[in-house]
This record gives sequence, structure tokens and C-alpha cells, in this order.
Amino acid sequence: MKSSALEGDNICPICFDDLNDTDILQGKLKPCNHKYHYDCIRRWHGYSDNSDCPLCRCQPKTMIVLSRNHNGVETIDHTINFEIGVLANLSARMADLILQQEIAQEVARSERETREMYGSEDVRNSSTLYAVRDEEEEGSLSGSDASYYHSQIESRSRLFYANENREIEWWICGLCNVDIHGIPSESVHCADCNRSYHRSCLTSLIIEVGNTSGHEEECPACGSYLGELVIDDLDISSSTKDRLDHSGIQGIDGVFTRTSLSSSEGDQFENSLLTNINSFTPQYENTEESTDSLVGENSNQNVDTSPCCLGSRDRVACTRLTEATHLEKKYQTTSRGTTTPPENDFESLIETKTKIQEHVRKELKKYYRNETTGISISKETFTDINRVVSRRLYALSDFRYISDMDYDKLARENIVLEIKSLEGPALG
Amino acid sequence: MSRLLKEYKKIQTTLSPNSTHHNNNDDDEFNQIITYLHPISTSDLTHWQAQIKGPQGTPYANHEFQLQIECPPTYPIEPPIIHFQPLSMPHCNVNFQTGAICLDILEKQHWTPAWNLMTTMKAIWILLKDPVPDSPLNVDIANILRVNDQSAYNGLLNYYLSASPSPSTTK
Repeated sequence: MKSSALEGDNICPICFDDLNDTDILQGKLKPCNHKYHYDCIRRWHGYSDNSDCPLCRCQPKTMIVLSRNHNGVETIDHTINFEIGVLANLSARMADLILQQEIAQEVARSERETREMYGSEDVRNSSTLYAVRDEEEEGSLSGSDASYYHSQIESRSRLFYANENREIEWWICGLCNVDIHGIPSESVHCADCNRSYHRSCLTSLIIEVGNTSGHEEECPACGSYLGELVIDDLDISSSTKDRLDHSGIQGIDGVFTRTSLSSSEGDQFENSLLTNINSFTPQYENTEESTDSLVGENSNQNVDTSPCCLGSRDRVACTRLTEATHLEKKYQTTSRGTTTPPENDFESLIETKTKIQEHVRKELKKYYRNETTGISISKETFTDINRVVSRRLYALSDFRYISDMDYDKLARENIVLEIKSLEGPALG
Repeated sequence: MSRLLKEYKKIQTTLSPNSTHHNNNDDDEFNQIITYLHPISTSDLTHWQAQIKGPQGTPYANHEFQLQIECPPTYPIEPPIIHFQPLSMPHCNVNFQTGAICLDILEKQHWTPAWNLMTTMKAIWILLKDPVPDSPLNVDIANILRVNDQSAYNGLLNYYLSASPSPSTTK
């Protein structure tokens, strides 16, 4: 548009207020040199979804943010670069960050599971159980899943490139349209619609609408989960760490997230990608020692169950074990399908496992190297049956210790069943 | 809202009936286009009324047209909503029944806060001068324009303009 009767050299074309007021930031678009109040032009950019100049409709490359002191001397506060190159760099860094966090998550998950295996003396007997499970899960994860991550990250990057206009919303609060200066603790970001918010704006919105259901983590625009905005901060904030230290169960959570991943729900992955970054902290400091000392033992256990180094009797047992494991997996999948384990308390989970295993061991001991019962089982078989039966009871009781349940009887029945099926093929 | 107050002050000086106050050609130009432009109530600057003159050399000449202007709370970030008086404006880019105007700068994608109410009035006036039959809201008039039947066009518009209670005749 051409000359306006209201236009002047010292008037902000958006609010018509004096542009040269001290203490108010100015934004000077380059290369067209049109000046606005900084807040006004950012409000406009936030509304218009682009960075165009309102006066000449050009697409500026940069905006120089100026402040003016009492003597009228202008100083450059900072410069905002609108060019896609910068945004693309950001995208690459985001992709990098996602990858790093994913790897850290993977490492910490396996570490935590190792700790879970050997965490207490009581659980020790069932350690092979976990070892086998670990092997299965990690086997299915490595290789194909790694490339899956990479393809996901690539597509994520492309998403950033394609939406360079939307990127502007990264930097402007979706509620007050004022810049977010990338302070992760003070801003939150919606991975779904790519909007960012000041935490204070979100809080005031909740107060305004009287939402007391604690949904402050929902994006006001699209309703999906909001994660903290992570831009420069590769080190996870201490607050996040604290939060995670209090909920050790996150590791289990990770397993379930991964389970949903391998069902190739790409979108869900993408959505959970950014949120996972924020809800996860590797716990190296607690686990490093125990892992080192236990890895060797762990591999020994694996050798024990490997078919190639067992006698014929044991091989049968091993075949049986494999079948039992499959059966167990079926149990697990069915119970996972209907109910999810309580994720609130890691300690109670361990306690439940321990209690159920006590019952099984008590019943099983009757058969262990005891000639009087007519059936004597070897140490390996003891461990196998203990694992299989404990697992089954665990799944049956819905991942909780139910005091009404007769675990002794259930354990006895299942042990007899296992021993019979062990003998079956051996006799046949 | 202070922006609307500033606009109001500026409009009052620019469109002053005392022509000696006019200090530049821009002001003269606005006076030749706009009969009046003022808020319906001075206590609420979001609702405005305007009247523009039909451009010379068109069937609209010697007629005047009333407009209703509504400024959203976010004005000037968002464009004002402007309608002609319903059943008063036969124009290929105006819905005759409702008075809705099809003009790019009144839409979100093309509006910029550098526009103001006076310049928007001018843009509408230019639309009267140069109708755009390719994006019509009044298909009948657009079709006559497309086949370039000047006498039929003038005849139809004159019929409408004389039949509808024009503000200029009631004045």
C-alpha cells in the first residue's frame, strides 16, 4: 500500500504510537528498513503466520531489535534471523537431540532392567527369567528399530523444513504472542502443532478458565500433551531429574512405549518422541557399579539356558522351556492387553514379584533333590519351573499381590503340570 | 483500542467540512471519496458507519453508499468487518442481499495492520471504480461484465440504483 495519511517517520504503523519512546524496543526489518514497535511486529507475525513486512509485504531476512536510551541513541539489542537456513539448523539440532535422547533412554532402560534383575537377593532365583526376556526384547529392538528411529528422525526433519513458516510459532508464545527466548524451564512446546507457550501464560489461562482438573500440560490449541521446550539444553534440568528419581518405574514405562513403537504406529512415535525426551533421564550414577559386576553373571546365565551346551535330558528341558516361554509371552500379552501393570510404585512391583516367588519356591522345594517324593528335579529344572510358574502367577494376579488368592495351591498345581510336561516328552 | 482513538482523531481532522484545514492532496482525495466516517457511538469505537461517493464515470456516480464497519477487539492485527447496507449495492463483488464485500485486503491473508479505516474506504471506492468479475459475489452482474455488454450493464445497474432506496435520495 502507498502513502497513508496516518503514516509518519516516528509512528509505529501498527499501533500509531510514538516509535521513539525510550525503553520500548523497536524492530527494524531488513532489508526494507521499516520500523515497528518490537511487540507490535511480533504480535503481527504471530497472527499472520509469516514474517512479512506489513507496509511493503516484502519478506525480510532479519529483524534488528533496537533499544533507545534517553539521549535518543539507538543500540542493537539482538537480531532475529528469519531465514530458513537458521531454522533448518535448528531442525537438524532437534533431530540430533532426539537421537541422543533415544540412545540414552535405551541404555538407561537396559541398565535399569539389569538392576531390576539383581536388585535384591529374593529376586535372584528368577534372574534367568529376566535374562531371557531381555534377550528377546533387545533382539527385536536392535537393527531394524535403529534404522526405524533414523527414518523417523529424518521425516521429522523434513517436517521442520516443510513447515518453515510454522516454525515462527516456535519462537512466539501461542497465548500472548510475545517472544520465547528459549528458556526451557519457562516455556513449553507442543510437538503436535509446533506451538510454544510461556509457562506463566498457560498458568494464567488455567486460572482464567477455572480448569482444576490438572490439565495444564495440554496444548490449548490442539489438546495434546505439552513437553518442555528443549533447544539449547542438552543437559536435562535438575527438576526433571528429581521428578524421575521419584518414579523409578519410568523404565517399565519405556518398555511399553517401545512396545507400541514396534506396532509401527508412526504418528504415535512421532508424538511421543518429543515428550519422551522430556520425561526421561538416564540414571547412570546409581547403576554403573552394579551393571559392571553383573554383566558377567548375566551372560553365564544365558549360557546355561542355551541349547547347544546341554545334555539330551536338558535339551528336552530347554525345548520345554522355550515352549513355556512362548506360553508365558502369551500370558503376558493377554494380560497386557486387558490391564497394564501398576506404574506408580516400582518398589511395590518388586515386592509383589518377591512374594509370589516365595510361594512358588516353597512348593518347588518339595521336589528339589528329594528322593522321597519320587520325583527329583535338577537345579536347572528348579530354576526353569520357578521362572515359568512365577511368571504365570504374576500375570494371573494382574501384576499385584492379591492376598485372597491361594498362591500355594496355584503354585503346586502349576508345578505338577510343569513337571508332568517335562517328563512327558522325556518318556515319549 | 488506543489505535482506534488515534484513527478517530485523524479522521476528524482529515474529513473536516472546513476545507481550509486541508493541508495536503491526500486529505482532499479522502474528502472526495468519503462523505462521512464516524463511530456509531463515541463511547464504543468498535462500531462505525461510513458513506462513500460513487466514482465519476461509473453507473455509481452521483450515488452515495452506506457501509457498516465492525472492528474486532484485535484490530488492527485482524481486519475490520465491512458490509454495504443490504440491498443497496449492485456490484459484481458485493453480495446484494447481505452487502458482503469480496475484497482481498479485508481477508486475513491479505490484510496488514498498516491499513486503516480511511485507506480501507478508499480501497472499497477503487473496487467500485474497477469491478473484478473474476471473483464475483453477484454472478448476474459479473456475467454481463464478462461479455462486455456496456449498455446492458449500465441499464441493469441504473435500474437497481434507482429502485433501491439510495442514501443520497433520502438525504
